[in-house]
Amino acid sequence: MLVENEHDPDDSPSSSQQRQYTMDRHQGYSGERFNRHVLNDDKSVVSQMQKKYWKTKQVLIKATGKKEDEHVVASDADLDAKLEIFRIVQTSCMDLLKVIEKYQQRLNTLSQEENELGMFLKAQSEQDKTPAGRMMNATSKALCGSAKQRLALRAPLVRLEQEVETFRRRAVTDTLLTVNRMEQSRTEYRGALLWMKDVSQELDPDTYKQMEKFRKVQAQVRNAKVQFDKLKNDVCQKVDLLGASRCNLLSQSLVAYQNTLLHFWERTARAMAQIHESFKGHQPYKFTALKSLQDPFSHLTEEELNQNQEKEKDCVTNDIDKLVVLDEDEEPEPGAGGESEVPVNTSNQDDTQLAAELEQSSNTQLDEMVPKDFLPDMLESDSLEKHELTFLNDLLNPQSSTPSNFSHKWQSTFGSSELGSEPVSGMVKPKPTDTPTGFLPSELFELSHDPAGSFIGWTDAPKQQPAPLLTPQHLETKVPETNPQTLPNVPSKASKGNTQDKSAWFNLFADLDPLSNPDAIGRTAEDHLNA
Amino acid sequence: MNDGTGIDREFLAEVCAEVAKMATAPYNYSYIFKYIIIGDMGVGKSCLLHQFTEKKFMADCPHTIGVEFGTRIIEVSGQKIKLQIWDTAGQERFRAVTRSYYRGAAGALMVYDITRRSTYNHLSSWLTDARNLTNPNTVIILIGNKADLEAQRDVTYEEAKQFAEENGLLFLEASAKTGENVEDAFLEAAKKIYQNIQDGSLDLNAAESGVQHKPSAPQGGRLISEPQPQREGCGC
Repeated sequence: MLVENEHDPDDSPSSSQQRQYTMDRHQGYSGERFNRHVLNDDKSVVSQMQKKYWKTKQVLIKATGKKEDEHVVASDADLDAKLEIFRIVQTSCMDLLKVIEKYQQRLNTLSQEENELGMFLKAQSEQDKTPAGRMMNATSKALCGSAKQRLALRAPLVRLEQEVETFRRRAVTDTLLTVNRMEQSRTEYRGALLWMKDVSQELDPDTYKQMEKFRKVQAQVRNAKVQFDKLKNDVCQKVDLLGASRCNLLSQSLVAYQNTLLHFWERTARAMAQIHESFKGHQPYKFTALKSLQDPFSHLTEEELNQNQEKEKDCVTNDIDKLVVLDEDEEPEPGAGGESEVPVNTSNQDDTQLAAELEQSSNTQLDEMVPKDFLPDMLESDSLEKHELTFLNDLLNPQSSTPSNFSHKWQSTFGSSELGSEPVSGMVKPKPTDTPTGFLPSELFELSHDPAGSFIGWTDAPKQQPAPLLTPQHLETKVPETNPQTLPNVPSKASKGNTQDKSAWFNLFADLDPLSNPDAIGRTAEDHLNA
Repeated sequence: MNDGTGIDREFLAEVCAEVAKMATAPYNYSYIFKYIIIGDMGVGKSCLLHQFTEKKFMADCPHTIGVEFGTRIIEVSGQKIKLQIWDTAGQERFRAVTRSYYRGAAGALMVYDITRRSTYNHLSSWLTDARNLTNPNTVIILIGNKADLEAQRDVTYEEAKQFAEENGLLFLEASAKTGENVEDAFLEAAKKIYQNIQDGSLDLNAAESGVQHKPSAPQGGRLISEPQPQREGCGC
């Protein structure tokens, strides 16, 4: 816009003299000085209406899913990626809670059933004076004990549930608020851009009216942009923090659970093994199965002699499966008192061996009572159960050379060497249900402030927390150490959005990928819980 | 000479002459050329414009929102030409917006940063836009800005020169900070455009040639003037 203005306030005679160019005697000007005098009346009703109009238009575009301008969308690519991460964190938290709930229920039921079996055996053993009776007695003790121990698993699960629930209620919802504000701002911003595009169609800097319009739009775009950029940064930082603190939370809580679980398995397996040892050499009984259940015995006897190790594994899990069928979902618990039939001596699975022996001796008494398709259907085993048994093997015998994907992940995540080979001597006490420890992003945020934003600060955070961590000391140190290994490439470059020094800490999580290892810690647990 | 009516006729005549001169002062250019400046964000488009029009280097330049304007009158072959320069935003989100500005440009300055290779690599996409959205006669000049930062150079003169030659572009390396080649950049383009006018390849009557010839007298309601520091003569 060019304004007729003889008295240019910016142009004192002296400064104008400085602008004597060789080329011409006319000064040039640009930018804001080009357009000093346009009234930028943002408050007028008309401009408010216009703003609203364009914002609404953008809302419509978004709602109807019409294709937006690709450049505008592309410029928000990193933000959209962060939003994706956030959604994943949200849904996985919900899923995790549901899964824990289900798992607890099943633990209870399973424990109950096991206990009842134990009581039943005990009752029977009192009437039976043969060695079988002693066997039954011993087994009943083992079963009842196992049932009680299984309940101990609930404690760390409850703890985990509390943590996740708190996390979800506070951290996730807080981030959600920011995300929503950002989305609103983004809509406004994009609406303003649409408006600017429209105004730009017919633009002539020499026309006052058009320039006035343009300046109005420009101011609007500028304001919206500033707001949006700030919120965008906020969202990115919050999501990064959210992901990091959840990793932290899971890796802490799951350690307790894992220890309890392994301890339980170890003890149960040992108890069963003892029974097996003491009753070695007994004659296997022939037995018949209920017709209503699957596969006839004869089918089994044919293949008895041709069994290889692999099939035996299937047997075990299948039996467990049939034994503990509670509802439509099978939930095989590998390792706990599994039952099968004829053992192969070369097997390195103590529990399956013992279970086999045990089974044969106690079978005849149990025909009518317990759903007992002890006869495996080797052909029906599915890969999942094979998988789990292999996993169990690897867990208890870490030198095993068949790392399935699952167990490999497990090992790399939790470092099975120190967990599998040593009998976990210190009993992991159930966590007292006190206030949840500091896994929220805000606490992580504060913790990170003292060390000046280094990655070490993050791994040290678990140690600094006042949480009553139950794991033995060396385990605790091991877990954070393995964490760096499992984290995908910890980026050393800072993300471009952050300019503050302390943000450098958050930048380390700019590349956290929910689908790779750190959140896989959560996933292996889920997988296991669903097992 | 006072004829008794209280009005000095000579003085009045003089005043009228001055007013007339001042009234015509803004119109002593024969052409208006529309320029656009395009290129990646941060290469220095706004700084080039500012250096050209105000002979100053703006160290702290905010991101251009949409487009900014600048103007200056130059002389080519004795002809005064007013340059109407559109400094477009380089940020990607403004791409759709800035595409509307290419229309009717007589000259385009395509700017890259010699210290950032990526800005050079994106030139083909800018060039495509420019070719698609302007008329075939538009003069495009390639500018390698920040030539003062020789130590951080990431693009050699030779390869850029070759690129320019392959695509029929003028080429200059300039520095908005020191002012080196800044005027030449705008001038070279203007010379080329003027040449095109002279040899007829640019049709002045075409709607979107980007050149206006002899701006018309002011119409009602239209305020056209440049605050020229022309205080010559007027004694009032």
